[in-house]
Amino acid sequence: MVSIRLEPIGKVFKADDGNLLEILRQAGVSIRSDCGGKGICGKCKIVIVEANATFSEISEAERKNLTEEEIKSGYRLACQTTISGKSATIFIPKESKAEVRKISDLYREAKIELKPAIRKFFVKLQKPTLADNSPDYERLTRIFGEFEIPLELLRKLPKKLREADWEITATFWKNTLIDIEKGKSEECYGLAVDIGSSKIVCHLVDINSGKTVAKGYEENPQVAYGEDIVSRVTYASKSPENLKKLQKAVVDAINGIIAKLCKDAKVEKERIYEAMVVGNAVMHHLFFGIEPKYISVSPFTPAIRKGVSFSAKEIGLDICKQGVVSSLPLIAGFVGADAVANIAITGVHKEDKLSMVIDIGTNTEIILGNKDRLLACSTPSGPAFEGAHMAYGIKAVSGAIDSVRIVEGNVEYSTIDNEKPKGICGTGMIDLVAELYKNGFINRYGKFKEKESDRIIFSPTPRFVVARAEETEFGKPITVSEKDINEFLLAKAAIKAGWMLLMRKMGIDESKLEKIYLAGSFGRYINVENAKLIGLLPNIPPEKIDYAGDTAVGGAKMALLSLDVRDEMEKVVQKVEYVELSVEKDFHSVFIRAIPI
Amino acid sequence: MASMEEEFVNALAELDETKTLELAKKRIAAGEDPFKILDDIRKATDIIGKRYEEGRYFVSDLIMAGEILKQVMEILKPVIGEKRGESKGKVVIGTVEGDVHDIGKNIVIALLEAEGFEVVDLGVDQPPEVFVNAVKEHKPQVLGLSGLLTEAIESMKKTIEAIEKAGLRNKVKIIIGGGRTNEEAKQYTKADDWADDAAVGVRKIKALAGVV
Repeated sequence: MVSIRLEPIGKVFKADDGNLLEILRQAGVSIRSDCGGKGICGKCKIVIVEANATFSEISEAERKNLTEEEIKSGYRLACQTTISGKSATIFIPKESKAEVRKISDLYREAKIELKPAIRKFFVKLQKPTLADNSPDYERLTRIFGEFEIPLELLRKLPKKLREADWEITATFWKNTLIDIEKGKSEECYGLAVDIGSSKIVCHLVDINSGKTVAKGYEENPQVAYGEDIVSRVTYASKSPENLKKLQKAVVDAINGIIAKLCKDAKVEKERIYEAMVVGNAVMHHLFFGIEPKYISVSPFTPAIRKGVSFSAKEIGLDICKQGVVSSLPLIAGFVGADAVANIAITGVHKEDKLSMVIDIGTNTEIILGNKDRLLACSTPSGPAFEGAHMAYGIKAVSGAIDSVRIVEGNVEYSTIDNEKPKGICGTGMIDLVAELYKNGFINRYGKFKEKESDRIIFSPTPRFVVARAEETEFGKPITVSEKDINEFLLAKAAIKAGWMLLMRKMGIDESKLEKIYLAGSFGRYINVENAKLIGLLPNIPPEKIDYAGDTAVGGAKMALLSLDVRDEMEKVVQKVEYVELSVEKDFHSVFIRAIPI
Repeated sequence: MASMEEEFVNALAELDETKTLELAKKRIAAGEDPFKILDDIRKATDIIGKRYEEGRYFVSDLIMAGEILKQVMEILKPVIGEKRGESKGKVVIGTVEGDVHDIGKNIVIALLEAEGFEVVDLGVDQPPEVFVNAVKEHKPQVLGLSGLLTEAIESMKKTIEAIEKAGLRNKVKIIIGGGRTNEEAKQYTKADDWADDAAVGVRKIKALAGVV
């Protein structure tokens, strides 16, 4: 047992001897670990300030990721370090802290006819008499016809009806009675949830009006168990306890958001009757606690495709006791209910015109088509757009450089919240690479040209100074190297190869594309001209590109409010042709040629 | 103004696919000796290799170089065919299971073809049985097993074991090639020779084939 003091937060706690990253996670400290604790990303840096304890020897991975100077000053990678002993004071540098990220507050509203699964009825029942002594349930069927009732509610039914003196509000989910309230109650809410691999977004929706009354978001706490979904699947597949941990982590986070939204909107959480959840197939499986292992290995099969509904209690979601948790259907192992939500809200499946929906993330989902034919693929763009694998790459958090311009050799940039820069996020990287190319600093493959500029450091390998030491938060320059640019171009190539192959399968080229919807919060902030220049997006006129914002939560909300939308989406997923890129014979050749700018 | 030769070397070294292919066609159309072009390819691949070692080129760049090289060889092959006399022998070559690196292999193929060998290229990430079948079918003098990864050594060993099992080991000389091969790997895999450099590899293959 070792007593640990964490600086600068000043938290003190006791932990068993063991791996430091694991100890910090269990203590509820969010620390960056993009690679999931494999010693690759080098983001879980910590500093051992003082200790009456022994630590594991500096590992190979640490020598790779830490400078000699850092090692001398006590820097370690938490994932590589085990501790045993009495006490230790550990400093967590600012750059190692996982932070809540910037999120798009734009989301699409689609007009739909309200036809929710949840319906509330105020009724006056006939009191039983000796002449009419039929059971309570039958009294209800006189009004509602035959219906289902959960045991727990049936147990309380006699008391509830009599306490209410037979004047009740009955709440149904489809044909199941899920709540009985005394007297007249009209308050009726639902929750639309998008579980992203990085963040969770929730809307509290008034089912009577179809309006969002409060919304909130939270970092997906599973990030602590691995940045990309594959590491999370690996972690979850190790033991049932691990799977449970990941399930609980995400449910707890959603419960946290629910509590906050209810407070903001002054709604009792017992008045939330259904939660409609979307997410990629892995997020979906982890949320429901379904073994996710087989999604990530060939032939990539999920446990179930169709939309499901279970009792909220079984999931552990903190809404009405007999409330329901539902999910939209999936398309395939790597194209999940979030992509289905994207289809629902953009309506591409109903249009004549050929549209593309592109949702950039760790996995980028692309949908191409119209009412006649829909193609979908998922491409492993990796966490490069989230800043992983790049020396100064960070997520879209406070202090991230999010846009860059180079004017006459001078760099102009903006940062999120106008803080001092501490790294470059995905949107900043798109601009940076495009600007470096436009201004003749790099060639198509992202290699620096021989060019006179005090911004380029040539030794040992060329790097470009984006922000000088005196400008940054940590007093060291923020630079970008050829290796960083290569990583970024590889991520871009994965996406470009995805849409190129879909277009080829559809038998069209860019000129036939009538619309691009940029889905997800990342799409919201990208500079379209630069994205087109580097080949991240097809080259089509800007008026045909639509920032669709947080489409996934919008689609979830539509499904929450309309059973017709749910039916429609079940039909759509049957129709969508899923294209598994890894088995496309041209993929390799297309991918390689998609790398250069 | 750079000569066409220099331009060609630069285009290939800079991974400019269109320009490299265009110049290769131009040079052949101008009646240039294809062996001179092969020599320039060697110069360009030297530059690419050096940039890789310096940490300025990455695996994806090597793959692209391999893609371009393959096409240049397609253009050169018919012309080289005209020039060369009798086949000096047959070589089967491929990248072993679990590895997709082919730039070194493609250079060796280019050079061997330039020397007048008939070469069967099995491609990348090939399991032992593909090598066994190819040896049965083509009856080469030499079999080349290529791979860049450390793990490739294990696959090479497995492949050679499979060839031994099929009763073909005394019918063919085997050379392993790639950045991680050495004398120790040769003994471990029970190969006849090894090479971590394309030019050395070609020399050793010639020796194994009995061509001096």
